[in-house]
Amino acid sequence: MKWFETPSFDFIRAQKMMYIISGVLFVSSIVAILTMGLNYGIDFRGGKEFVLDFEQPVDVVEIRNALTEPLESTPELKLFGSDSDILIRTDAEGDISEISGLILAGVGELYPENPATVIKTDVVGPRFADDLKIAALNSILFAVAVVFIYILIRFKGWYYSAGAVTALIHDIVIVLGIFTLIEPLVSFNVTIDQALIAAFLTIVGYSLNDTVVVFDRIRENQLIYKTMEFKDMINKSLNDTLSRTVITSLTTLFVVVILFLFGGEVLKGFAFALVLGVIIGTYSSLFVASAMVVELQKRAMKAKA
Amino acid sequence: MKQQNNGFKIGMIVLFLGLSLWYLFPTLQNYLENRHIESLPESERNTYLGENREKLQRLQEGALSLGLDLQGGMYVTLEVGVEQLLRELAGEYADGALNEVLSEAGRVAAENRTDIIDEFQAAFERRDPNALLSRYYRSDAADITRRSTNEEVIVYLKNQRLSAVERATEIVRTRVDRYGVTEPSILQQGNNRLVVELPGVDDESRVRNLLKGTARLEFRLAADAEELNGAKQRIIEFYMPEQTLEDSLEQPVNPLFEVLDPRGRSSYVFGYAAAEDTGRVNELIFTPEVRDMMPRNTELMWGAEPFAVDRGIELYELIGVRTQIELTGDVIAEARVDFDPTTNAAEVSMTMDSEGSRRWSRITGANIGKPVAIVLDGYVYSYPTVQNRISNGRSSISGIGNVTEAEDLVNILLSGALPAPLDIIEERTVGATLGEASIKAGFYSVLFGLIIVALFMIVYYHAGGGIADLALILNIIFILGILSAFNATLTLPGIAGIVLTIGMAVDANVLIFDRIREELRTGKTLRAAIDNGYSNAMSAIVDANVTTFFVAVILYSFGVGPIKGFAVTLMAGIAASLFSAIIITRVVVDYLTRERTSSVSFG
Repeated sequence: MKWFETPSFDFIRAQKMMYIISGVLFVSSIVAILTMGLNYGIDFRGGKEFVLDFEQPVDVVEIRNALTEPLESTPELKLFGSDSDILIRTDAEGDISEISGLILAGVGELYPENPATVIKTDVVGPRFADDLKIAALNSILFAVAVVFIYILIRFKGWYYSAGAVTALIHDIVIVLGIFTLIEPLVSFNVTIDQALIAAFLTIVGYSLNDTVVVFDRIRENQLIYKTMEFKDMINKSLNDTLSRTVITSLTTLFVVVILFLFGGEVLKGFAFALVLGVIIGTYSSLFVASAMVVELQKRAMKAKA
Repeated sequence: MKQQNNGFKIGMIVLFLGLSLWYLFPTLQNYLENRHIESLPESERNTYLGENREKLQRLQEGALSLGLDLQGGMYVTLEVGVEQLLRELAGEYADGALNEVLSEAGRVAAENRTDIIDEFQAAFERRDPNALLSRYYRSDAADITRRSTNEEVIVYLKNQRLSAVERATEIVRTRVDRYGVTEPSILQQGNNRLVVELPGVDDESRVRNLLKGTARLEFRLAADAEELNGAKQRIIEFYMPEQTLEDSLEQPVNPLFEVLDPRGRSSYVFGYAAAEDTGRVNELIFTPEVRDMMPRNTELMWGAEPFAVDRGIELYELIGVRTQIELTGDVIAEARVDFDPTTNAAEVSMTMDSEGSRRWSRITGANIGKPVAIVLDGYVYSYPTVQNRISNGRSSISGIGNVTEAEDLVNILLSGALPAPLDIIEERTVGATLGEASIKAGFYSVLFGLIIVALFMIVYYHAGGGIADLALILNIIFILGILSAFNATLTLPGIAGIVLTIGMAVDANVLIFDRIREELRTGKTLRAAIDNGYSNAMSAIVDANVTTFFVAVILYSFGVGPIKGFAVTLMAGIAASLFSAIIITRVVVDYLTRERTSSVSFG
């Protein structure tokens, strides 16, 4: 089987079109994040989360109403994989055992015939959450900086670094935007927590993988086709590596979709971010990273001249 | 030359495969043993476990360990209360000014994420640049005297914090060991935190109490009955509402009486209240105004357990005790669970050391006929009347809920009092059932991922794909081998890392095979195309993997717990897939094309 054996797409021309698509996605993500706010999970916001496993299916609204009074605040509830498992998130202050006792007593009164057990507890103090948030932000900034420097050393052109980093920021912002927009629509956990940061860094690594392979081909082609215009060379390199880009993206997409479908409830949000990341990362290394390199190189040359 | 090269490569492959299997062998054995034990009937199981204890223990230690998210358990981060520690260290010198400076330092340190002890010095010197910290802190051992500079005191306080965290770590370790957890892990983190990992525990609230229980045991004399009664009258008077003359039928009720019954079983009891009203009573009683009405040497404390149950309502006593502490839990040398001979209720009997016994003898001798309150963490457990002088240093705590609570109390008393309170700032608990579900989910993800990628590779690259699949399977063995060799823990995100590696590991082969196809298109022979394909793809493979490896390292240094597991498998995955994709496939391809002179199709 052979796909894209000798493709000759004009990526650079298509990139004009893609600027608009990326621009729209990027701007609407930013708008969504600014207006709806980032939906932090308890890792970064602090609070208490309990997953209750009931014997029979339960009703989320009924539980929310029953718990509002004893907890003295309205808890956030989500189904956790099945309709007899509920994730309860509360900001109620106090001893952990006491809060979990209040919740169990509350649901026990509501469903006397349907006993519940706590199968997962996550508690993060507000100050500790701040620590985690800062560490997460630092790790992403640090990763981006390392990528910038490594590419600068290996490919000897700041516009390669800038192109790769632009693509990374593009990917992360759009995934964040989608997470923010779909939160009210989906039944699994899409809050921003440590697992999501891990997913982001994986996306960074993955998207970079794609980008670096293209850059590597550009570097090689530059030695062979010395007179070719930079723009055309990039286009040729993208076409040369297209088959590989598509195949690797496909195999990776297979496994992350499997992770999303079969990996269990704990990994749902993480796997979902990876699915988005693989799709957007592939798109951005084809259309964003190299386009930025062409654009920036042109300006760099002009500035020199 | 080439032949020798391949001989070396084959040697390496055999070596790494052998090492991986060697490290994985205990895991396999352990798994088979566990299956065997589960299949045994109940009666034989215990004898089998007893006979093979050492062997099983060894297997357990050698086996690839599962993270708390897979086997179930608790992960807790505890923080030592430095503010309280500084207050305690000042001891009797502590005053209002010190408390103010301390709470300001606590606030600023939390806001600016700075060291609270440095903020303490700054706040102290802001208040009065000429004041000396040695006013509050003295230590003969550390040579901190009246003339010590503030810098010297700060160094002393930081050392004290360090030793407090170390002691807290030791105490928590003792408590956890006594509780009985297999393979617990207790580590210091930063300058005031400790991380506790407890696999397999399921009684969370009991463990929480055990971890942070301070067990501050005090023996105090009961309040003077007459003085207490006088104070009670004044306080009732204070809350008595104005009489309304117009309507004498409906007298307004004293708000205190709504929640507190001022009668008591003895003259040392201020009153009693229902469990649900105790919060309201606290609001009325523990105010500065009421404090001023109490005798200087007296304070009120709640009983630890209800003294009576009236129509299903539990009633708690508010007891008057002296502020002066006669004896603390430091003197306890031995403690054990006992049962009251008449009621059969659980209690803790204690024996004091010689110094404690001497003082206890003096205290009891001087107070025959008077009650002594036994106070634990600010609650009165009992206040028995002293019948005669106790000279053997014995005493007991009654009024404990049940046997487990008594056992935990003995544990906490014997492991020593924490130097400062511990606060749970993070807790992650996973139940065993959820852990099992996660293992299953992880296993199926790996299996399905492997099948679909393997099939795709064969369909797309034919024989070449088949060779890449072989490398992929060896790759997974290598990853697990590396994890075992480094004693890493397999977590659910770690399994996700393996699944992801399956998808990304073929990348190197995709790069190589695509390159071979390209070379073939230019009309090269298969041999030449293979040589060029491998060598030309190399720089892209190296660059792409090095950058991903960097990202994994960053993830490792930032992440905690399960996320670290993800980073570890990602790193192991990159190393293993580079090896298997470049070396293993090359050896197989070379063998097939050279030795067997057969043609290998790359689709």
